[in-house]
Amino acid sequence: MADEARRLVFQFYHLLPVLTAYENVELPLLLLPLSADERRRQVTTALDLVGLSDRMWHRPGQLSGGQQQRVGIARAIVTDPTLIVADEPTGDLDAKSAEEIMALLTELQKGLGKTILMVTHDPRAARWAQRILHLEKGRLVEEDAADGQVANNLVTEAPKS
Amino acid sequence: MTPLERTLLSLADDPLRLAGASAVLIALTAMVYYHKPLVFILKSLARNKVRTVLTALATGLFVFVVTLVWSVLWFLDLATQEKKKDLKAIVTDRWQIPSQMPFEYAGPLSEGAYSKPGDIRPTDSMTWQFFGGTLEKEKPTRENLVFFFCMEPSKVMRRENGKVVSMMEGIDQLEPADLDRLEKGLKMMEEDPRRVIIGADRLKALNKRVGETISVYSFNYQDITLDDVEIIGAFPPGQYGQNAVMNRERLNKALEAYKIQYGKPHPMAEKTLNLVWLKVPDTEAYNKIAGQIEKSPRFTAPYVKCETISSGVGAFLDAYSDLLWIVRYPGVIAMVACMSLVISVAISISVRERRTEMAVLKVLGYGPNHILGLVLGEALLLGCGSGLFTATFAYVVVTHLMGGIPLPFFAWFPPFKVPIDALWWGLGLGAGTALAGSFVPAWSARSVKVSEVFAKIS
Amino acid sequence: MQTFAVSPRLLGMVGFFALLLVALAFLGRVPLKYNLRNLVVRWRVTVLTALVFAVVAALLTVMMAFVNGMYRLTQGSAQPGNVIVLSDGATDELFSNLAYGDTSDLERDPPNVLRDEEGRPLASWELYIVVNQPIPESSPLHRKGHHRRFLQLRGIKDPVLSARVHGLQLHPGGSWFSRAGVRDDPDGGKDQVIEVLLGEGIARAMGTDVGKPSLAVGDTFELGPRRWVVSGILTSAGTTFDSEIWAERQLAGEKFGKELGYTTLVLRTADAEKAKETATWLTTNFKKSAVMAQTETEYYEKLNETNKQFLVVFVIVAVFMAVGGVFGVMNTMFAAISQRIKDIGVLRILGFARWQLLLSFFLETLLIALIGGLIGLAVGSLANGWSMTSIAGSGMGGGKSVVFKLTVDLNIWLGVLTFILGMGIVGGLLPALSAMRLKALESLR
Repeated sequence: MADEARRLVFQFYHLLPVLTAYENVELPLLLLPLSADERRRQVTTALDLVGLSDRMWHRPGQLSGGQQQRVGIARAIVTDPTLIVADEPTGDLDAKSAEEIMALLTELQKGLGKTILMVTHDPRAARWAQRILHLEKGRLVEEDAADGQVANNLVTEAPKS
Repeated sequence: MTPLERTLLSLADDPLRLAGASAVLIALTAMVYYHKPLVFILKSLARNKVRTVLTALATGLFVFVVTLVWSVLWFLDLATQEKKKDLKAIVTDRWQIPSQMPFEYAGPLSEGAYSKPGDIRPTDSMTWQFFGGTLEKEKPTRENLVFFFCMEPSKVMRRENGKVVSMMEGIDQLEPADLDRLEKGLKMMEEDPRRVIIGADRLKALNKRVGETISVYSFNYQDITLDDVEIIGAFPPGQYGQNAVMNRERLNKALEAYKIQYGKPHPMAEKTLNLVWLKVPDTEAYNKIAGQIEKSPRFTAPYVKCETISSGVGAFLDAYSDLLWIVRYPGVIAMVACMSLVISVAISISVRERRTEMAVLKVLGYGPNHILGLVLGEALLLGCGSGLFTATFAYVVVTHLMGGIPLPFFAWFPPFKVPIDALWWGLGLGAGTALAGSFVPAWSARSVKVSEVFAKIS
Repeated sequence: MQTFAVSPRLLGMVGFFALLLVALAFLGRVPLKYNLRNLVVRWRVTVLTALVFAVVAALLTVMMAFVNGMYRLTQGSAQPGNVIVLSDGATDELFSNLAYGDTSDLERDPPNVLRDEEGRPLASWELYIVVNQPIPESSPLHRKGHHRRFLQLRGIKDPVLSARVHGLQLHPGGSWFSRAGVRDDPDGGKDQVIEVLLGEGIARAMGTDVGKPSLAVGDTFELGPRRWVVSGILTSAGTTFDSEIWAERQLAGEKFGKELGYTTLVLRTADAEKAKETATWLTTNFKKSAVMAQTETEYYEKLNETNKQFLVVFVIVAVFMAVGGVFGVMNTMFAAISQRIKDIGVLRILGFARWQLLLSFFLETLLIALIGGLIGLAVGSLANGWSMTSIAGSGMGGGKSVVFKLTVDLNIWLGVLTFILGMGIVGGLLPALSAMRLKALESLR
């Protein structure tokens, strides 16, 4: 469970409100035997990747919905996982922020070779995917290849967490 | 009349106590009258049972301790208050402790130094000579010590016109069966001075029973041993459980016998009388008799002083005054403060959690003062409820079931009981601390802005 | 009472706690700043809860300072090398009767008794009397309802020797009372006045009668049928002699009906070991009369009985309050946890183990306790040095009236801190356990 846990992104971001963006992202690293310097490097890298380096020391209450989600994503990638599971990542965002978040996720996939498994009700978000699995009442009913490309990682069943 | 009935009747004497009792009745009635909001409040409290129970327990504990402390202080205050009628006075050595006077003083002092027409006599009197010793000459221990009040048996208790008359505090509170036995025992002591009555608790420590005969090797009357001391009765356990009485004739005869045997008086012969108690009808009589005694030329070696019991107790308590001050002020204030704080914490948390609910109530038309009332009501119910309950518990358990708590350093006081006033102390404490602690959170609940609350939710 | 004498034990306890806390703080991976900042965010409730600890700590500090001060007084009064001799069977100086005939033998026979430069044994012959003094009506104390005080009068054969045995000196400006023990009345009365040495405490108390901070050399007062004059003040602070009046033995005795004999003999030996030897020798081997000898240390230890009883009462009160406070802090922490359920879920999902969460909330409670406790200690310590009167006795009622100062020292600090931390541990455990058991993902739904 722990391994998978580092790779979760949530609809409601689930950041600790009393900690800054930096500190929230740092949390998963505290469980690893890393030195403070190493941690700093990884956190700053992650926050860079999501484009929030200038807001490192802000608390969630001082960030917009989109920015908070980006912190959530940064937290998910800070341990450099191969798989990221996103549970309705755009569910709480307006159209513009949703687009930004999906662009970011795609970049992570293409640029860093990360696999992203996303659960969503939002068709616009789904269009960004390489492969879409439609589920109804937990049963697979349809399968699309959105870009016409067959996704590299075949998944036959949506993991129900 | 049972003690309870007596207590309730005594309330009528003191307007303050009457007010307190009325407050309790009013509170109970109010709870019945306002039962609808009461049920609502109870339901709110029931929503978080853990919090309610914790707060009630904490408040209850504090009230319990404060009740016990106030009971002790209350009794000490009572003991030092000057009575107006049926005063008891004691006559002792004017300067020295312990008080040791020659037995020749006994007669004149018991008459209040009555010497000429115009003087008055006390209505009753009692002499005390203390005789302490051990049952085991070679190995005296705390357990085999016995301490006798040598006095006239009839002064412990007698019946006049069917009423129990006694110079000793609290004898009239004994059960009728015990009083009858005591009366018989005292008569037997008068017939034969070798007979004694020892308290049940002391008998237990001595490992002796009624009917046995003991020998007492005295430590405060050197070289005097009383043999054939026959235990013919026992004081019931409780206030007199550790006491023992002996006919004073026995001691006086022993002193005479010493003189005959050794050819010289016993060193304590002129120092055997320790206290003389006098009962006087009122303050005027007391002042007159005190004057008679102090002006009398018969009491010069040693000089004596006459003072009321409350004055004597006051002097004794003087040494403890700082200790009592610490308990009475920093102590009680700290406990009351803690009570307020605990209630405050609980109510603050509760209000914070229910902001939505408060906003909804406001939308439904409840005014801000309604909300204030509900929160205050919650606090009051918690405070008064646990306060009243705990105080009643303390009263019933300590006073009626336990018969009082003896405090070792106040060895000569009867065991301390919780007075019935504890009931309104508990109520008052609960109400006061509840209001003090909940006022700020209640006010913030009152000022909940509906718009803010609903904006957050959407 | 031993707790106060054995500071190493307390030190050990606190050291253990400190180490535990440090270890816990390091073992825990949940950052401490998470707890600290949450305390600040809900500062009102944090402050209220901390105040409960503060109040308990402050009261406990004052009560312990009382017991400590009394204990120090009796400790300070005992000279380790002194042996106190009473007549056999006397539980108290008041009831002791050393017959006149024994005097020189009791001085000369026992082993180890030190001698002065002139070869005289360092022996203090004393007649202890408790006397009633009516407080003058003009005194402010009388108006407050105090009509009498019990004075401790010690009739002394040789004040210089006695002072030496007890380790006391005279404040500058005073002199020992003369052989005769009397002098002419400075106020011109026809009777001579009796010379006395006063303890500092009683000098202050009697000074209040006449509106002065303390009676001084040359002042007179009334006691019994005579007038008395202060010839010197003893350096008695910190001992039971602070409340005593010393006068020439014959004069003191005959005024109060004790013409012959003494109640007490105190012998000075070189150290505690020698004192024990001498005491045992006297109790078992001295056949000329029945005496009971003990080291002064033992004797004063027995006078602590009343103090121990006070301690019991204080501890009971403190425990009751502590339990109440524990319930209060449990409320706070339960509420904090239920408010932060989401945080707990997140941390669990991020990989933090249950016990690490338990630790985090546990430490949060201890933080509140510590803050409150330190504040309370600081406030309670303000009472340090306050003068108090109480009774030192065998615990069955009655005893010596003594004056002492509330004493807050390291022992008290350590003791109160331990008590408060204990409260925190008990109060924090249940809520922390409940935090540990929450199911992670359910809390995130």
